[in-house]
Parts: sequence; structure tokens; C-alpha cells
Amino acid sequence: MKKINFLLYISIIYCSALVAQNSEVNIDFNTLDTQFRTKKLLDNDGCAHFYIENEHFKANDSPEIINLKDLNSINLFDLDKFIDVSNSKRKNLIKKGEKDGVIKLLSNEEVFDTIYLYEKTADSKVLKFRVIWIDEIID
Amino acid sequence: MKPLKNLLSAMLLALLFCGCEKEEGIPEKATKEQEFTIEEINFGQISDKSLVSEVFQKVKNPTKGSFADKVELYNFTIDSSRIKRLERNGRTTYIFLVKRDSLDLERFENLVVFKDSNNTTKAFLLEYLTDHAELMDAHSTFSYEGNPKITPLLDTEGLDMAAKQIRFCYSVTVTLCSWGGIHHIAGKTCNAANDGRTYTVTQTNCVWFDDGGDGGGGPGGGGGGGGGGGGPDPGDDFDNSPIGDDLTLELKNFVKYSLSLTERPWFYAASDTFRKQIATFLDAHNFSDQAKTLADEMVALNHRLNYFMGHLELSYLIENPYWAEEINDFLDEDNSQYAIGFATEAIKALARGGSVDFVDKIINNLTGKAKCVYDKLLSLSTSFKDAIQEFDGDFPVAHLIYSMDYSLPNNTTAVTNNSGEYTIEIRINGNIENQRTVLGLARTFAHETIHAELYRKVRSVGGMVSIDDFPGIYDYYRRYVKDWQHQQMAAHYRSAIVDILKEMDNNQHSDQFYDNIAWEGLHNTEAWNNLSNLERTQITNVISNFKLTGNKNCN
Repeated sequence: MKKINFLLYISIIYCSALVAQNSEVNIDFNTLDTQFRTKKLLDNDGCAHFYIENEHFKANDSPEIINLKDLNSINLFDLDKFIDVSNSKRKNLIKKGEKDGVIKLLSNEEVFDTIYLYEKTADSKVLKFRVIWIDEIID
Repeated sequence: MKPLKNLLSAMLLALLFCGCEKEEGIPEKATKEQEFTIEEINFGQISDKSLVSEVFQKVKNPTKGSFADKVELYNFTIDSSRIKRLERNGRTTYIFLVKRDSLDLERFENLVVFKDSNNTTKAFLLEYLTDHAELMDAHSTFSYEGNPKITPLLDTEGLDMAAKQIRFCYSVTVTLCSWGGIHHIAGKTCNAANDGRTYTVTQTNCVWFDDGGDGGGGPGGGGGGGGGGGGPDPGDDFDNSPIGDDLTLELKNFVKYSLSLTERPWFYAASDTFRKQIATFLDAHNFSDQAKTLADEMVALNHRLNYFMGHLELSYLIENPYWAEEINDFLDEDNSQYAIGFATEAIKALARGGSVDFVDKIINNLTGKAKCVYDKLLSLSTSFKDAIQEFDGDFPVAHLIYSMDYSLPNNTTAVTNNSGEYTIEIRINGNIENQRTVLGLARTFAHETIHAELYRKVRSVGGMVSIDDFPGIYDYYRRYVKDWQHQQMAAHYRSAIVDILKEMDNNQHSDQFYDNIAWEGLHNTEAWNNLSNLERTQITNVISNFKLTGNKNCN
């Protein structure tokens, strides 16, 4: 398979999303070199899968096409920041649960309500995928 | 133009069932007649092909605006193997059985084509409701109670001018037969008998066309022709000897007589693909009792599995029909959502060449060396068997699937996926299995199965982990958050991996060796970091050496 290098950015739409129950995350892929191991593939059902390091995202629907300039208005994070944000949400629930000795374990799918992943195309357009963060452990 | 409305006049019941003897049952208004001939032919035997070509050309390429709205109406093909040629009063009429993409058990259609007295080509679609039809097996034909709905295909010029509603009436002469007290469409047997049992009945069928205006009145009464927008035009008269859609009628009978009242809606709720496949299956087995019983099982199973079955799954069940009964039995014992979810995944796996253990509720999609190692683990390691049986409790929260994955990078051995609603799936990297030792693959199975077990425990409490129920998970998740599983496994589950490896490997190596192997995949953990540099180096060397020298053949 053709190797695709992605530059990953993740954006939290509003800061309160760090602790809010409802949150939306934006991830931007392009083909520039990146510090992260990335891979994109299509499964037998035609669904796109995006792997960034050990994190796995799956798009169930066809992407929406948007203009490249629209990405500029989005505050973008890298994968480390994305993990930090998700850990913050999890830790928040741990803190709450410790009082009663019952912790809510968030699966990956439960951390963010909505995740969008953007992939740049050769013609300066951007494919906007709505994805889910698959709950899986690699190795 | 809106779809046409039809006015089916309250006609005499031309085709009544009655207990009359041969010939005595011919209705009064019928004309006893043998001055017609009916032949069943195939497409190649049509003598006037230009007539048929003209019809199909016009039907497939409608030029009038009113036709453009009828694309759906014209979107049909014909059964070229079974055509009727009817000769009567010097006119040749061809009758075709219409075929459409979707399976409609409520109706079937005939296309009637002929040239009228002005040498103008005429074509009509006649729609018959299956509820009014009864198959006559002995005569390869059917009886029909009532009149078909008639739609003219070529001569609708008048419709363009219709302001509101217009009525067309057609006198249709149908060739019938009386035999054994049952009146039916004259088939080959009746025609060949030539003993006076055949007769014709001429009916006037009127049709209302509506352009969408308020119209007023609407269909009602009629039947004798005359009145309305136009009286019967002799030029519009035509002859007919309908062709029954045996498959549709047989299938309708299957639904009516072989499925229970409860099951019938299940058949109609299934996808068109499913219903067509069932029809094909039954047809291929001549609607035998055994085929009907199996089809019944599949209809019930498809309903129980929320109508998920597609072409692949149903094809598998058709080829392996005992599975439908087996899975229905399985669901009879356990009808929980987890059992349904497992059965759904099981059929998917079976259809794709996998195997299913309905006792331990494990789906095995493994192939090659991975399957061989898995089978060895099952047969030689009671610890491994015990581990996977955790997924088969009285209140299962998830079932296990083992699969191959050929999309993983070479530095990944396997993945444990917790995203299935009712299943946890372990996928082994198929790209590198041949480079791996048998013991290394076994280590991967053990390692991933422990991940699955930890996920299962979390699912069992709906993600709300209490310090009393699962103190280990509570503690490791609280301390390590995202990578809690590897941290907990490194500290507390290595011995479980060691036990599994020792049993499968028949204790060929020391306990220390198996413990070293068990460390693979757990290097980024606190337990690993707590080892001395020397210990870490020794373990890394043992793992590396064994990868080079260990047995890679599973047999």
C-alpha cells in the first residue's frame, strides 16, 4: 500500500470541552511528513480507517468536501495533545468517582461526542470525515 | 400526470369456483367457442418480431411527456421463455409475463401486444392481484376472480388533452376453460383436449385517468361501457389468455400456507434480496415440503436477527441448511441480546469461512498457522480453555471473536478490539505469522485474551468499576488511566501467560524462560522499569534469541 504521511492536528472547539460532557474534536490529515506513524485504508464495506500511532479512527460515512481555508479557523492539536485532552476527561471522572469508590471507565468511543478528521486532497480541497475513536489495544 | 386511477367495474364474476360437472359450468353469458388457438412459445418462435420490437422500442424510449412520468411503469422485462400466441378472429395476440426487479407477491403483470383492425400496434399492461388468483397445478394455469387492471402503453394520445379525468374502456375477450367444476384460464391441456370445454368471456374494463385536478366523481360503477369520457371503442377491443406468474403464486402460497400468521409479516419485512433468494431456493427445490420447512426456519431466523442477513449469509444457510435450525435452537435456549448478537456474528463468520463454537460461544475466523496454534492451545492448555470460557457465563456480556488482520503494520502482533456491541475481537497480524515462533504466537493469544478478559470485566459492570468488585482494575485505571491494562498485566497476569505457555509447550523450558517470553509487549510498563538493567537485558536477549531459533512450524 502506498505510504501516506499525515500531519495530525486536533482541535478542541471550545476550551471547556476539556471537561464538558459534550465535545467536538477536529483532526487534520495531510500528506506532509509527520512525527507520527500514520496509515489510512479502506475496509471491505468501503469505510475509511485512519491509524495514528496506536490510535484507530473509523469513518462510517462518506466525507464532506470543504475548502482548505476553512481549516484556518480551527485550533489544531497534535496526537499528544489529543491524548492529553482525553486523559484529562478520564481523570476528571476518576476524581469524581473516587469519593464513592466507583469509577466510570470511559471507552474511547465515549470520550468525545463528535470527532471530525480532515484529509487534504491534491486539488487543495479537504475531505471532512466524521469518525469514531475505536476502543482497541494494539499489541 | 399523477399515476392513473383505475375503475374496475363491478363485473360479473366470470371465473367462479363451483361444483359443476364438465361443460355444465360454463356461465350463461359466455360464448362457447373453439375458434381460437393458443400456443405457448418462446421468443424465437414469434413470427411477427417487428410488432414486438416496435412495442419494446416505444416502451423503452417513450417520447411523450406523459410517458416520462411512467418510467417506473415501463421499467420491466419479459419472460422470453414463456409467451402465449393467441389466434382469434384472424388476429394474432402475443401475451408476455412481465418481470420486474423487485419481488412483489401482491401482483403479477402481463403484457398484451397485437395489431388492431387499422394495423396499429397496441400494447397493454394487465395487472393481476395474487389474492384473487389460484394456481391450477394440474393445468399449469390459474383461476382468477375479478378483472385485471388495464394500462394502455402506446395509445394514450388522448391523455395529453385530458383536463381532469377521462375514462377509457376496453372490451377484453378472455379464453377460459371449465374442467372439474373449476373455471380457469385456458391452458395447454384444455386447448389440446379440443372437446368443448373451452369458451370465451368478453368483459368491459374501464380505466380512469386523472391529471391531478379535483376531478369530482371519480371511479365508481361502470362496467357496461359508455358514459364518462369515452365509450368503448371497438378498436380498443382485444383478446387475452393470461399467463400466471407461477413463482409468485407459489411463493404467495408458501407464505399463506407454510408460514404461521405470526411469521407472515416477517417474510414481508425482509429485504427484497432475502425474499428473492428464498424464492429462488424454493423454486430450485420445486417448492418441496422439505424446502418449505427450511425456508420457514430461515424466515424465522432472519426475523430474530433483526433482518440483517444479506446475500452472502443467506447463501451460506441455503447451502448449509442445518445451521438455520441449529441457530434457531440456540436462540430458543437463550434469546438475550447477547445471544442474538453472537448469532449474528456467528452467521457472518460462517458465511466467510470461519467456524463457530456454540458451546463456548467463540467465533474462530483464524487461518493457517494462527489457527493451528489456537487449536493447540485449546487442546493442550486447560488454562487457556478456562480463560476463554469466562466469556460463556450465565450472564455473558460479550463473546470472543478470533480473526486474522492483514492491514496491521509488521511491528504489531495483534489487536484487541472492544468496539463490538456484543463481541470483543482479537485480530492476529496475518502478515507476520509465518515469521513468528509457535510459542510467540501462543504468547500473543494469551496476552490478547487477557486484554479481552479485562474488557469483559469492565463491561460486566457497565463501565462503573467499584473498588469492591474489581479492586485491581479500579487501582490500575485510577493510577495509569489509558494504559492501565498493560500496567496491570505486567504486574499481575504474567503468571497466567506463563501457565498457558508451559501447558501448550509441555514444559520443555524452565519457568524463567516462559516468564521472559511473557514480558514481550509489556516493556513500557512500570513493572518492567522496576527491573534491574541486567534483568531487562537478559529478558530482551532471551526473547530475541528465541525469535531466531524457536520452532516456527505448527503441525
